[in-house]
Amino acid sequence: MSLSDEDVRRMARLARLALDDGEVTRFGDELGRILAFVDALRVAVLEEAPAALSGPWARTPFLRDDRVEEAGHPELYQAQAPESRDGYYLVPRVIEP
Amino acid sequence: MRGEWHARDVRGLLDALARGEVTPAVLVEHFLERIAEHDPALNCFVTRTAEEARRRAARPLAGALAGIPLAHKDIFCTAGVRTTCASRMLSDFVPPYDATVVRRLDEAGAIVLGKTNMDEFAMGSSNETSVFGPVRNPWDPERVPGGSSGGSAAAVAAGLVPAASGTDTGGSVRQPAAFCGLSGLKPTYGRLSRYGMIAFASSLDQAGFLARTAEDLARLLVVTAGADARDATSSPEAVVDYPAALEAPIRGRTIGVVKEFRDAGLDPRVARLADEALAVLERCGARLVDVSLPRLGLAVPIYYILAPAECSANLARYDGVRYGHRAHDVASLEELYARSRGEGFGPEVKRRIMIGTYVLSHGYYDAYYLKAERARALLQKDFLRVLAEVDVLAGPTTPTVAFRIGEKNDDPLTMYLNDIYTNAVNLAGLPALSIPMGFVDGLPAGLQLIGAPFAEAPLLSVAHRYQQATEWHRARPPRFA
Repeated sequence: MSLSDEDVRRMARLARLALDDGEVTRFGDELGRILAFVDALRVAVLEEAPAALSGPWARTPFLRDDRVEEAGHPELYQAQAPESRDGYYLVPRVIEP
Repeated sequence: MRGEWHARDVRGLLDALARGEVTPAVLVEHFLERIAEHDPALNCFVTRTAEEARRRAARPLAGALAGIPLAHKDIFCTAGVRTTCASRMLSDFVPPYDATVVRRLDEAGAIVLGKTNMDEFAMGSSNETSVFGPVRNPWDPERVPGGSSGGSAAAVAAGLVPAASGTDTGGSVRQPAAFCGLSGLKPTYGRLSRYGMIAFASSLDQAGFLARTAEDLARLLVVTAGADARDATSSPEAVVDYPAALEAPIRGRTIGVVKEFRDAGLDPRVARLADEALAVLERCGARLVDVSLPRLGLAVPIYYILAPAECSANLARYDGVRYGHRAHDVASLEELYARSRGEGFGPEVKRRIMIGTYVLSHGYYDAYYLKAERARALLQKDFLRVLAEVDVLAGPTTPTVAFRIGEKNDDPLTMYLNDIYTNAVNLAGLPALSIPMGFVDGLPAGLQLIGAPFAEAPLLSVAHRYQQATEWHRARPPRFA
């Protein structure tokens, strides 16, 4: 079983992942084999059980009061940005002039 | 004194410090020399923090681990020190804050000597997916140290640090501990804060430690465990005095021998070592009981649906805008995202993002993701049922000893199956550890012990009793003795 190039390209588009042609072919084959393997689960007959969507413990995560506990340091975080100016993150133009 | 300190475990070094036989500064220089001498051959360290370590050693230190040199897996954020996750995506990332595990060890007086190599974003079982290249196993440099915490494991095994942090999403502390002849602990999900630990699969990720002995693991755990307001999934469950609980009697404890741990490609020589280890525990006074986890065979399929699904969601944050790698010469925002991610991530990370995207996509979500979550709940129920009858479950940590570098690179599935005994424990959220149980052709093998939720104390005490009765944990790789 192998995923078609079209399937792989669709997943890559959803994942916002640029792949070259070699990667598309390789992932088609590898993902096909991995999905065939996990199919053991897809076809398994399971008794009814609630899905454990919140993690291994059913406990509700604790909540904090909604109040500021530490000063924000935007400059510290923005120093990590590949491109920023005047407190803004720079990206390619998204609206044509 | 050269040539001696690296042969001691954390407990031995604390004793020597307390008696004034050595100072933190001497220990720091000794281990930095070891790193300078041996790391070029092993590739354990991604970043060394020698100057900061020297400055810290010169100051008065207090705490339960005062003066003990350590290394952190390069997945833990360290304020002002580059944190890469062994990925091109984060090759220049310098976090402005410390992970809670890092901060608590700092408050306990430990001294960090550097950040260790790992599989990229903790995705791998061999340390071969690192952008910095593979780590070599100190027992045989042609073999992998295991992964994803391979740099931490190899560093402790080679005596470059007495202990190191790791993370375990599907076996990433226990499997390298087994491959490198160490003791490695993955605590219960929620026992340690995940704050500042770069996320891979948030419902499975848990910080852990690699050290020589169960006793050392208890000392590391007691200063790091406990609730953290910065991680809402950390547990308010009371922290036990784990070192004090080590001497609890093993007599009368029941150990469940999991039938299904004998299936699926288990090397008969590893099986024999596990039998011998169980016999030792029985001689120590434990009672062995056969138990069965009939759905264990589904664990790897469940894991390779859920972990990639969570990975694809968590890694969506790397977009080339706020931090991390950014592609140049792009024409649109869409292209900026896709090319930054395409260039920044390596093949295994891309593979998992693609699987995760697939199982979460329209038309497949119910069949794969929701079904896997239901199966996970059933698997956890199975574990809790048997753990209501026995104190600890036991079996081999891995089906084989360390494999050769490159041996499993061509087939991701074969690599995934290496974690067949460890994945299930993360799915069930349970604590588990691996301790050395002997050798196959000169390569170490590990015994895995699994406990009930938040029952780290009995787990560590059974392991400690085993280590009082055996010498496997004292073995050193000859060329790094």
